[in-house]
Amino acid sequence: MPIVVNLDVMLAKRKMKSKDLAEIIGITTANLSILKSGKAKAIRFSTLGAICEALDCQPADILEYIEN
Amino acid sequence: MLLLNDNKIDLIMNKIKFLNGFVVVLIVIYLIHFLGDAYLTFFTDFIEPFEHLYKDFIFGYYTQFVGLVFSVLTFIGLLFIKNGLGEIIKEGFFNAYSATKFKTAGKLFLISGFLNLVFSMVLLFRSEEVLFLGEMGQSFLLMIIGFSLYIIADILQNGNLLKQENDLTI
Repeated sequence: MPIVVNLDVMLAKRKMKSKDLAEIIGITTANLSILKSGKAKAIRFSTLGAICEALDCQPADILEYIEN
Repeated sequence: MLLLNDNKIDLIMNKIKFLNGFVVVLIVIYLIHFLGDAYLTFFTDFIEPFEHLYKDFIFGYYTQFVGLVFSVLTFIGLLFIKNGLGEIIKEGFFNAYSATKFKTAGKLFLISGFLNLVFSMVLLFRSEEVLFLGEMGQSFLLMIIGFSLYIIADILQNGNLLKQENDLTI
């Protein structure tokens, strides 16, 4: 898939653990892991908004389009 | 909202359980029918008045067992439906296993219904007994059920794909 999730990078920049982020945005660590690993088929605007709010960033900081 | 959905799912599951029970009863009836048929054919002279219908027919004496072969196909189809329903009760409505089972059951019902229809038509034209007109109606009904099962299997397969997409939407 040409969309890459850079959640790991943002978590490292904010020095936040996955478990803490999952707790703040209200999803399970298993689902956050699916999102981080790029196995997710889609992301809800509400989830994306919550992640941006928790990490104080823009959607473009998390999602990136890479041409095949 | 979530509670309402759970209630709805429970309601559907109760209906599926009821249907499963109904299929089990039908399987038992079929077993009794097979045993009763065997008893009447081999241990009594019940079948004698009807033997003239079959005597000069393609398979002769064995023509009376052709219908039984179609019944066996329907019976196997019922077993597949029972398996499919059991999986729905265990794993939830949308699962690939049930879809495959329903598709096989649908095929068996369609084949059984079609063959029974052809056989009844041939017997009707040959013997001019109105009795076989009812058999033809039953065959049509069986074919409709088989086709419906085929459609249900497709719905289950599509639903399974949608469920997977939904599960992977975070």
